[in-house]
Amino acid sequence: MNIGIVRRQHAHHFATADQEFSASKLGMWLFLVTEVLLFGGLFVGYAYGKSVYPEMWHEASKHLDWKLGALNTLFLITSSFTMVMAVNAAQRNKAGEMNGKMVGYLIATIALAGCFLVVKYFEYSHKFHDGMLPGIYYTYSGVQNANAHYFFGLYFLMTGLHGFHVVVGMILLGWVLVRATKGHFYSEYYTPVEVGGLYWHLVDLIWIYLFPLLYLVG
Amino acid sequence: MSNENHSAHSEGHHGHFVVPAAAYVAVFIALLVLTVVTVAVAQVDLGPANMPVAMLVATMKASLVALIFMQLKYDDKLNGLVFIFGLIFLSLFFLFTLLDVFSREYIDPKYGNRTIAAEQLRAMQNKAADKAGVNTPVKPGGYTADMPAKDEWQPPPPPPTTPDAGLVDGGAPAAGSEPGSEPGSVPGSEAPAEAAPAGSAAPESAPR
Repeated sequence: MNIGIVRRQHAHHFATADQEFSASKLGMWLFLVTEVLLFGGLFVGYAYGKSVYPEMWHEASKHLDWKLGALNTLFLITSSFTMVMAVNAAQRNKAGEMNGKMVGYLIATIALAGCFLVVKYFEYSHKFHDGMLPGIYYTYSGVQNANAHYFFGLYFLMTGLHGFHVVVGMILLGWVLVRATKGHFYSEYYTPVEVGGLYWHLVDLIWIYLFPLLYLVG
Repeated sequence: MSNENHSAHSEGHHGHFVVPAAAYVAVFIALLVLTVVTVAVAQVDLGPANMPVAMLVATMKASLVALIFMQLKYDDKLNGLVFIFGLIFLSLFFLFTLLDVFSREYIDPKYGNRTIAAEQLRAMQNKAADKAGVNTPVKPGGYTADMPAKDEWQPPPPPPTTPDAGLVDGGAPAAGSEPGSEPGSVPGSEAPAEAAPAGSAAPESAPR
């Protein structure tokens, strides 16, 4: 698929393309910091719940399937890898010769994100069926401990917010993919691939902590 | 690292350092290995070390992702600084929340952080005393020694309708009631009730 490249002139309010690239990245990093703080509130909630109800926490977390969590970890780590390979292909794309690789890696990334959501769907539907729901909707009787709804409330908040970010990431990378198929990204302009990748790695980064906290340690 | 950064800027007029794909493959394999490690370690109960070990492995993975995949190692240091500052503020959030959680029992060695419950009890005792016409305000702070433990405490029954009904020594609602007398309508209340000074007129209702 050699469709060549479409050269881009940097936006008029930047002095150079380099400056535009750095500014975009800095903006993305600032956004990622707000994301860290957003998830941070839930992680603090986790720390509080685990400190106050250690036995309940341990027992409730045993009702999550760590094998599904590990599978999802595998999907996300692999998708992070395909994402950097897409960025790498864009960086080495001088005249469109790497377009095919870049598009392939982007498709792989989005597909792996889809696999993550499919696994999540099965986990969620199982919990919905058993009544392991947050707050007043909690009807599960398998955990011999009051307050288990707290754990499952946090479970749904943390994985739900994270899953929402996965969906947003798929849309974002889908847009990057469409532009990549048009030859918009090459060695001198690949900012959307780069900052889209940064976002995607943050989603992976958060899961790297969510997985052991929810599924393994409890 | 500043060397690498320097070469990154001299390489090509664009200043984009292209990390060799082999480095990404190495990091990918390392991430997979660390995932296996964290799952394997979780199958062994290390007691209190469970959480630190899991967090150590997760942080190693996160560092690899942030430094190599997100290129903080090769990037303009400003981006890394922004991220670190975010993490510092997050750690402040953790620090002060957990300081609170783990220091509550030190506020009152016997009853923990019970000031609100104590104030409510004191207000009820004073109200009951008022209704009975006994001028025995329970002073703030008196609860620390004598307040019933959390499980024993029950709210007092409603105050008696007739002045005499609830008084222990059958004391009339006069000002001269014995120091230490208390409204009998408050079960389990052994708070040091003190008689009001003789001159005081209408008994203070529950202070504050």
